Amino acid sequence: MYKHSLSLLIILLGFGFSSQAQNNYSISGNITDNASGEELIGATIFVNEIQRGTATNVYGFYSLTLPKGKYTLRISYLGYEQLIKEVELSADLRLDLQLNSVGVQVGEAVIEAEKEATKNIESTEMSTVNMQMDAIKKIPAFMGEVDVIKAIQLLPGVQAAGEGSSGFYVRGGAVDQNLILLDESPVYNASHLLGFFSVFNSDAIKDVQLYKGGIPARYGGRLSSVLDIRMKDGNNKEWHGQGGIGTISSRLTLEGPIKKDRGSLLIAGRRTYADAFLIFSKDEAVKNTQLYFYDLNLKANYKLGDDDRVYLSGYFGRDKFGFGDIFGFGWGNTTGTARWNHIYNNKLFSNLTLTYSDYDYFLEQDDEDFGFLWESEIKDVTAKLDYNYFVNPSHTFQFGVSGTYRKLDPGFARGTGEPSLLQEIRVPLNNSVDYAAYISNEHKITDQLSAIYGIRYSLFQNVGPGTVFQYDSEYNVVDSTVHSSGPYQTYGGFEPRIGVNYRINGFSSVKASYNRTYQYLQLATNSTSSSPLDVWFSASPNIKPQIADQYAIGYFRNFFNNKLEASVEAYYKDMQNTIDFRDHAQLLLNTYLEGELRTGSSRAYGLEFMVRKQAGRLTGLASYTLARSERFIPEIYGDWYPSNYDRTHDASVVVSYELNEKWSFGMNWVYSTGNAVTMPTGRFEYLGMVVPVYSDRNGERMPSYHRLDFSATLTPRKNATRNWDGEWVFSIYNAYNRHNAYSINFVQDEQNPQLTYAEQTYLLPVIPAVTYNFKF
Amino acid sequence: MKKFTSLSFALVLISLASCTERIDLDLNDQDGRRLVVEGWFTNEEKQHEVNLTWTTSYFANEAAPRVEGALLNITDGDNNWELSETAPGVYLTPIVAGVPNTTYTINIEVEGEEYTASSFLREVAPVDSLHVRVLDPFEEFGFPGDSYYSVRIWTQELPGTGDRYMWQTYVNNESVRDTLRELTFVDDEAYDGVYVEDIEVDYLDIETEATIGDTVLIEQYNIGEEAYDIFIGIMNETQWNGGLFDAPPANVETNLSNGALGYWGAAGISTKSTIIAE
Repeated sequence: MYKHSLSLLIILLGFGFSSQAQNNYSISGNITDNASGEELIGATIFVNEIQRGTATNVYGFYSLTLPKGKYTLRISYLGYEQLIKEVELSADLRLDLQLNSVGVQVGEAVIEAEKEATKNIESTEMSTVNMQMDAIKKIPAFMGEVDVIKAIQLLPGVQAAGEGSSGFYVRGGAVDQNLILLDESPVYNASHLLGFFSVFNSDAIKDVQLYKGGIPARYGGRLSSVLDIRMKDGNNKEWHGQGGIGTISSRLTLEGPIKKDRGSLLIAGRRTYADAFLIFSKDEAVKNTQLYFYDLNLKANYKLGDDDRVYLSGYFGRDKFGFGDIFGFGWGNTTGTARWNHIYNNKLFSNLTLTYSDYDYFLEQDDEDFGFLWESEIKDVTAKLDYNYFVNPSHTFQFGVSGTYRKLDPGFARGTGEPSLLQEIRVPLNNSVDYAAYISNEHKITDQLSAIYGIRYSLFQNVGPGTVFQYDSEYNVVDSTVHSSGPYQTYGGFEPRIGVNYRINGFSSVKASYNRTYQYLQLATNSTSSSPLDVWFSASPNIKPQIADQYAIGYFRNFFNNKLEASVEAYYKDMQNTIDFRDHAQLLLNTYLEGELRTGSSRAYGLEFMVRKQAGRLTGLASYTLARSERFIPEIYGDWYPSNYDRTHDASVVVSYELNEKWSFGMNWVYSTGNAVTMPTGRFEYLGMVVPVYSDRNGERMPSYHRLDFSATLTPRKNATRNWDGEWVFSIYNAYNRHNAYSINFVQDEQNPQLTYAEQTYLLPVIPAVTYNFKF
Repeated sequence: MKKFTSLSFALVLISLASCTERIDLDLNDQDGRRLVVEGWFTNEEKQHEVNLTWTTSYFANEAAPRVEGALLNITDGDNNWELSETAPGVYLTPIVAGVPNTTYTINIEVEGEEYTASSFLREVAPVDSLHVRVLDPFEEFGFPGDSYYSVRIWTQELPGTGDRYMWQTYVNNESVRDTLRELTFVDDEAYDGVYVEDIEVDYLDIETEATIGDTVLIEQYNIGEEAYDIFIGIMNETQWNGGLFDAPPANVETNLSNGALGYWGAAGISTKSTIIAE
């Protein structure tokens, strides 16, 4: 397959360069929000005369190369007024443009946004969803805390990992197959408070892009999806703040210019106070419990000149759980990103990125004899160089290279007593590097046909110092090899990425895509719900990287003059070297973790339907997914069996309605088939115990999950004398108080040992919350 | 490896917010019933018992049906002992004593199907001494509470790993431990060849389970690794589960062939008794 696609790519790339004409000039620049100076990602610039256009990249930069002449440009961005600009092109032109957001008063009238809703028809990308923060903020949120991850879980093909979880499954892939990036830095655990909240503070976020398929060549390292989250740059015109006071958390964001129009700064902080409620508990032990998280987002950027801009951003978050002085448990992420945008010329844009990411947890117990401290950590540093080369309106190239060095400390536990009765456990450290190079071209072949094609080559190496264990066919350790330095295992491969769009007419198109992805790093998680203690482990001489091939095809059609977008997509995903764990595997603090793994293959396929309305007083989306996710791991089960997260039906409906300037309402309803689980189908008695006999692997289902949430937002009339906007958000989570099973246990009755019954644990009953949000 | 059991304690956090309730589940029924075997063959000279039952559907909520009319024999390769059914599903050997370091095989024929299992009878050291004394476990921490009878033994752990011990307690010849979950099992990995002194193998409620003047008898079994692993498996699937982060469940292993369940094994037994003094 990919020998073919490779030669096709070479032909097309060659074609790209040969098609350049003479006497062409470029228009380039940045598109920003007029009020804040914030760069707009994915704003479109359409040239009326040639009926083609381009879009801004993730730094708000665009470039168009056209023959000499007069042109009319239409610049649009969802939620912003369209701008029409006439240009006379006789030399290269630098054109920075500002858009006004809708709702900004222009004279007496509020101008209704011109929808750029044809984007989903015109864009070559498929299986991709961009969610704007404004839309996310309209969705009823758990405890009133607006959450990016909870919002993307409502999309077709995306499913929440469990009640209140920040984990998600994309198109039948596991939770660890999602690459989550915050300002290009990977986030290893996106959960706060065991997943009830995600680590992303909505006030600090500008843009959220999810790739479920057709993953661009510039991303790699995970099989199933990329969630690319970009932080706001901060207002470079004047100082502003916003924040909220909620039922269990509060947050505050401040942003403003370092120097007007040249640089800005943003600081956002959040802290929960769930433990404040615990003092009402009758239980002394619960009373002394600490339970909170905080996080802090920082970002600064500065324009060094017209052609250079630097960005620094960081995230620091921690969760802490303490039980009096006796016990402590905490985890947290730290990420940092430094970037340098450089514009070589009107056509060539570059970005140099350095990122750092660290996830760690600890568990400690204070005791004279059995006190212990247990720590685990994963950290990496990455350097990346990316180029965007805007050849002409038909060809936009992206290419780049990257390198990562990663250090895993899966677990180190030691007694802290004097002297300690516990023995020290040190799971060997693991170091690895990976490199990647990619090139892709977005090619507008005809007015109706466009394609993105590219290729990525990724290379992974385990590097010393490291210990490799050899296992026999029974998975017992028979030998070990110590590698003191240098690479001792290399894996790599080509990852072709192709997407094609054929526009049938102005309101419908057909798209198809294929992508191959490699994954060298995976999470050891064995339970239905992932816990903060799960550890990441890398490919090694014993574990091959996972490989996925995904094929997707879709039909996109807009209705009612592009007000309503609809799509149907079908996908098939074939995955190799899938891992699963043997029965009763010991995953934590296990030096021989690799001996607990069994490998095989997996496949996932499904159909996704979505209808979305993004403009107007009534907005919302409805999605439905019919899917299957299965694995075949011969040493675990002799046949294909459903993945735990195989969910046949998954649906969600999100509606929001602005009644008037004062009141707006939101609603969402979700439904999904219960997880596939192994449950007892029979029982036997042995020495007085009633012992379950289980179904086939994952042969039974949890009860289906469904839930309805509401929210109402009250915006009191603005006090004209004060520069203060406030709003009250009232929300109800799980409005009809569905007891959604989080886990089900099978219990033998204490009094009557003959009696066995099922008992479910559910976490979140109906929960009302109030939040006050403000801006100044 | 010392397990950090406090892990589950850490996850108390989630349970602060969780509720549990009984639910009705409509589970698929298994295909057909399966034979379940339970029994020991030991070095004691006596009639050794084998119990045969059938599996039921999970929510059957009735005693397991007994298997009547089965044909059973136990053999060491040279000798062969037929078992006779003395009550429905209860089969007894003639009076015989197993010999340590011998492999025994049971053959069972029920409704035309044949099942078999083999087990190695491991030697066991005598219990040299048995003491029963009153103990208050929290007194030393300054929280005096309920005291109980601590049943303690002195014995030699046999050299060579692979021994797995289980203790069964009788008060006035009545077993006070009729379910697996009440029994104590230990492996010898950390104690190989050690002379074990004054370790607690059971405890008895004062008054309800034993009083002064009662005779306490302890049976020390060396059940071997296979039985130990199966018993731990049974505990994992019944008593030691229910956490929110549990691994997926899995069927308990068995040493019986042809789809039968349970465990039949040979074990070395030594006993010691004492009378509870003032």
